[in-house]
Amino acid sequence: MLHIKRITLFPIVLASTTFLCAAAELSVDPPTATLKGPRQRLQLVVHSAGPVDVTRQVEYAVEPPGIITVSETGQVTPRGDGTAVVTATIAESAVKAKIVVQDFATVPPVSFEHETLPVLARSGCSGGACHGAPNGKAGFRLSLFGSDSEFDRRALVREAQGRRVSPLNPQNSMLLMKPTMELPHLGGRRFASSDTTYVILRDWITEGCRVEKPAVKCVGINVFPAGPAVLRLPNAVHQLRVIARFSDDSERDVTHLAKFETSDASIADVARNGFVRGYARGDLAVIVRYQHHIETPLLTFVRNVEGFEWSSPVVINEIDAHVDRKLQQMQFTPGDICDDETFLRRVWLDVVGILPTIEERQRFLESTSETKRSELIEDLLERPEYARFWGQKWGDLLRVSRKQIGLDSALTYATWLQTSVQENVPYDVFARQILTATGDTTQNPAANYYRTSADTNDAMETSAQLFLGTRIQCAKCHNHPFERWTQDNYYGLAAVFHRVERKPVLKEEPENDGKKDKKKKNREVRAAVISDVAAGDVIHPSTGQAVLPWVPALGELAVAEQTGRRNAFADWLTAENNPFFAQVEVNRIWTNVMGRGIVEPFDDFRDSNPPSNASLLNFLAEEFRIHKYDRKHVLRLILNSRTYQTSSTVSRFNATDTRYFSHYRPRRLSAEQLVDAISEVVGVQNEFVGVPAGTKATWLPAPDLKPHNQSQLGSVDFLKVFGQPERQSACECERGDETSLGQALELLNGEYLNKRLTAPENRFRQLLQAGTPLSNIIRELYCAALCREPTKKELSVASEYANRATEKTMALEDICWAIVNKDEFLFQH
Amino acid sequence: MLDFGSYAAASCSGTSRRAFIRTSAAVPAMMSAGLPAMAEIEQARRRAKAKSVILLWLWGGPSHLDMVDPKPDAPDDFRGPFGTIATRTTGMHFTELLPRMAARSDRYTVIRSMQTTNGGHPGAGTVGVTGFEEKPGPVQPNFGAIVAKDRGQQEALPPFFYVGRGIPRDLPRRIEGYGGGTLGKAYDPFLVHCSDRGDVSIPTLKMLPNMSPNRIEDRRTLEKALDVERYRLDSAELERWGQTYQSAYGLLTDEKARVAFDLTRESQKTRSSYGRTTFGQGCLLARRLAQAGVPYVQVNWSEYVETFTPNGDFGWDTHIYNFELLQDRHCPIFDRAYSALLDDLHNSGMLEDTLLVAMGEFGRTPKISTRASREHWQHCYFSLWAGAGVEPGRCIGQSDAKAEYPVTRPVTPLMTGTTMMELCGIGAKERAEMKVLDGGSIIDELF
Repeated sequence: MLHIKRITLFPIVLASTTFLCAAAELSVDPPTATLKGPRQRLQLVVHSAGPVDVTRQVEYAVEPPGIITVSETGQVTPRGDGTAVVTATIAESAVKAKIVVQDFATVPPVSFEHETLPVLARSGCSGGACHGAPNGKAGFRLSLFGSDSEFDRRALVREAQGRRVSPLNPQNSMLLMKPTMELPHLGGRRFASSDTTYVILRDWITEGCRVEKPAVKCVGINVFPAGPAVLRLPNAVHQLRVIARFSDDSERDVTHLAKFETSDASIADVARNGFVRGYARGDLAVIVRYQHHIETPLLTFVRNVEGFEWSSPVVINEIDAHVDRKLQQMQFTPGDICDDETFLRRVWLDVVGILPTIEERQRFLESTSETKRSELIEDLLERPEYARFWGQKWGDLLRVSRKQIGLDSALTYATWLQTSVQENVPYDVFARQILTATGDTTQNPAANYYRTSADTNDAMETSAQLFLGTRIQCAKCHNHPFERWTQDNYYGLAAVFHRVERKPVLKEEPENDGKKDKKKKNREVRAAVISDVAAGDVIHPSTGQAVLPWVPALGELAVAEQTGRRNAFADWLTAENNPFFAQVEVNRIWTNVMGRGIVEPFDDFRDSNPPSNASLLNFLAEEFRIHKYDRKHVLRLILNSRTYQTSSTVSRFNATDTRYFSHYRPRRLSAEQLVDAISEVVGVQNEFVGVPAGTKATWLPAPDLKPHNQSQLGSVDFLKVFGQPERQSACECERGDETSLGQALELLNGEYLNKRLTAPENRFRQLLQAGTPLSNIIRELYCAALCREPTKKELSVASEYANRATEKTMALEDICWAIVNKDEFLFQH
Repeated sequence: MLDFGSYAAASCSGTSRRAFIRTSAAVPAMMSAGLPAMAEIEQARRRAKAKSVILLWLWGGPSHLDMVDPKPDAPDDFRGPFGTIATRTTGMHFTELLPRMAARSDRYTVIRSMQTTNGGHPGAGTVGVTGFEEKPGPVQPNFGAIVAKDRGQQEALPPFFYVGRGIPRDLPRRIEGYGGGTLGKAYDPFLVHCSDRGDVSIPTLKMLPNMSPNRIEDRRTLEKALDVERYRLDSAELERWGQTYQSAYGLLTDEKARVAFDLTRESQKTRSSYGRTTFGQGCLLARRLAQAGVPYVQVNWSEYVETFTPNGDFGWDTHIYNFELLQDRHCPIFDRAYSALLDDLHNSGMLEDTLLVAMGEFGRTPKISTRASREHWQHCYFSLWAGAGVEPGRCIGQSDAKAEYPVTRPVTPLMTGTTMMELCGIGAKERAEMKVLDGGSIIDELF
């Protein structure tokens, strides 16, 4: 069962003092505890007021001796029956914990499932890079993190002629000699013979490698200190303590058996015993694993920045309030609001994908309205270009391409997406239309969804990624390595999409000379008829059983016979209390205009990848729900915020911020935006093949309609070079934002740009012919490309260059080239 | 307690077993966590001899039986029509199709026990140049991309070149492992095509009709002058773009870079010795690039695996006319080009620090098909190794009597890549940091 944990809004502040106060009041967790048997361990956590973790600073004294010992790290080891009192002392203050040890003489056998397998996971042995890899390592394979105990039993006890364990002479077992490097081990030294791990494995072997199923099962783990914590650098340390709950209601400390990892090693690391040490400002999740149970406590690291002062910045709407709260906490200063020209260029590129014309620019700058920015946003959101541009974004996600579904279908599907954006169809309705689509794809283009995702697993994985922001693929072969997703979940979710039938519709046979092509497969698939079927089950690969539909947070999905599984899924997905649905879409919208997700990557939602600003994400999701999943509303809210309109220039107090939105993040224009922008500046339209004249690159319904027109666009496919996706996978990552030499060469010396600069009908040639003064032509080029006038210096340099030249057109080609090659042009800022 | 932290991953991905045995024998008392790392670094330093790697990629799957692993005693329907000739390596015979190479076998080493996991071209191609299957993904980086990332852009020339007509492919699709893979597009190869006449074409490097180097320089000067009051933006992406742009400009205008592509600077004698073929001249270009300091050059025999089909440019995929093609076309071209390149590297002293590897993505069926040819065979094929400290004049690995399966330890593409990287000084730790070639081991027999 998957537990959904949302982020608590009120973190406990664990450290508000930077130094340890001598008179600090100490507290210890747990204050009392009972240890049964010699093998149990206990982790103490000591806090001083603040609270600040002082587990490793206090001195431990035990009275009476002989019952327990306490290490410097606060780990308690039993030594004999009785009751002992631990006193932890620092400076003048002290705190006591009472520890009872029972049944010290009764030695229960080491539990294979509760101890042996967890320590192998903890030491990294059964990790994905080592023996937990699909083919294992060096002939030795374990299940990933011990998820399959029966498999591991065979591997450990039976394989390799039983040499891995040697009960008669435990020390000589390969299982111990390899990881301690007594024998050469490619994986290096994993533990020492003094470690608990070694002792547990040795005892397990000594006892004869018992593998009985334990009488009780672990039902979950709790991590203490509970709740998100804020730690103040530079001395940000944090000892975690893990308690396992068992089916007989007993609880036990498993800190020494659990596995710890952090989601961002540049912010903090965690030692094998759960001791976290922070290095830099930021948020992260610690991923704590015991057996297949995972908890992900969130930690925030803050630092006092010298000279930092919070002067209340402008707040336009609630987005800014949420952003400011985080910025203030992390001690970053938000930038100033950008000027009108910068805003104009930015918002045009984000909302409609193209640059404003010189007239549009003029109109906006001349407007004296107090609310002219909001008015412009409203105006842009109502334009058809908005629907075309955002429809193309959906086309990327839904893999609309000729290769996937054929030319006709690609066109109708793209048009359907565009219309849906244009009419601002509520997002829940849109999702349902796609997910439950049936019928002939020529009548119902949404049904193409089941053609681009051509089988059950593809449909499920695509849907999970699109609507749940989850990359579930890993769980196909094994439990997800850092998420709660299990293999059962994968097949359960796949069952939702299994009873879909895709009947291909073949192209009409041209009746040439009376002969028909007998080979059916040679005929092009024109469309498909999608329908639900009543039978068919997903078979679980390990159990061989049919799997029932399952969904996150809810578990088994109740399906009404008449409406079928997909409808039941859509009901669950779009229900108000679904924790994923709204968040994933608002995060996607946010990423599109801000250049970075609140959850980043934007379609990788998991507890171990916390949002950089949880309250902001919750606010936007709530707003989205309240407004009936109105996508335009969310977009409007973001565009109107100060956060969106902040300048991209940085100050000393926000230069290092990359994730809290203190300033606008410059990013290179996408391939399509760039092509359109060049076309706008030069004043030469692109002619794409297979679409009506005048179609802009940002409107192209598919990347592969027809081979591009080489004589018009150059022999190198400019769009491809700049990262236009092929639309072969549902992941937005297909759209590359990487830089390559090829791109730079295209701009420096490429045919595409050159053809436009030398085109006889281009902007500056026409102006020159009309007798426009050179300085005015230069001005116009600047305004068209950069939305601003040239500075005095720029104007004089460029004018002089043109005046000196004998061939004015060539000089203007050079000037235009120089402008288009500027970072300021190539980047949105 | 010892905390291995992220370093554990480094030792996870493979220091050779032998290294550990060596070290542990020498200093048993020093067994500590730090030791594997030390041994690894030491080993990498000892082996890091390759300034450049040239990979001759024999695309399509050359027939091992008809070239370097003949089986004259195999049944008629296996052995093929070619006679065998002795080489300079004791006990090693080639077929009569490779006389020049046979006469030089003391300068390189043959591996006859290669084995791969995939029997289709694009799939096996990806395995061959990345070490891993395309599925389930993500697609791993080409060996050249790893070197490119490690060495970075040096001066004007990009660090990773493909010499050939295009990205290797078969009719349906190109291989996925052609480029940067998980390291990113930035490490994709830089494509240059070299014709049989030695004309080197790079579309964006070709001066456009209305352009001249002077004019490009004028433009750049103008742009810089206009940039005085540059819009100051601070962003990692902008910085990256700036660097890339700078390198591109260098490539376009730098004399040294342009000279590297200019085969006319070689004597007619040298150019003829490689053969006036696309592959031959491509090999010569690779040598010039390595000479100019490019760390990784992959020379692609062909773009398509197919020989005759539309677009086909005579790859090694000889499902028909295998024996005819090998005898009349492929082997003479390869024999000549490989021998010339080897001589050239040897005579100029470059072989000391240049690693030359030749291989395809798999071999061909030992049993002759009903079309009197050979089909795909991934269970046994060959590779050739020379330079950069590889001990020459040997034959490593052995196939069975019909050349169907290796009878010695199979050598995989993953091992090939790992060994190449090791020779380039990219040790286990660097590989682990880049998250590449996980689990790869070194072909110890080469040293």
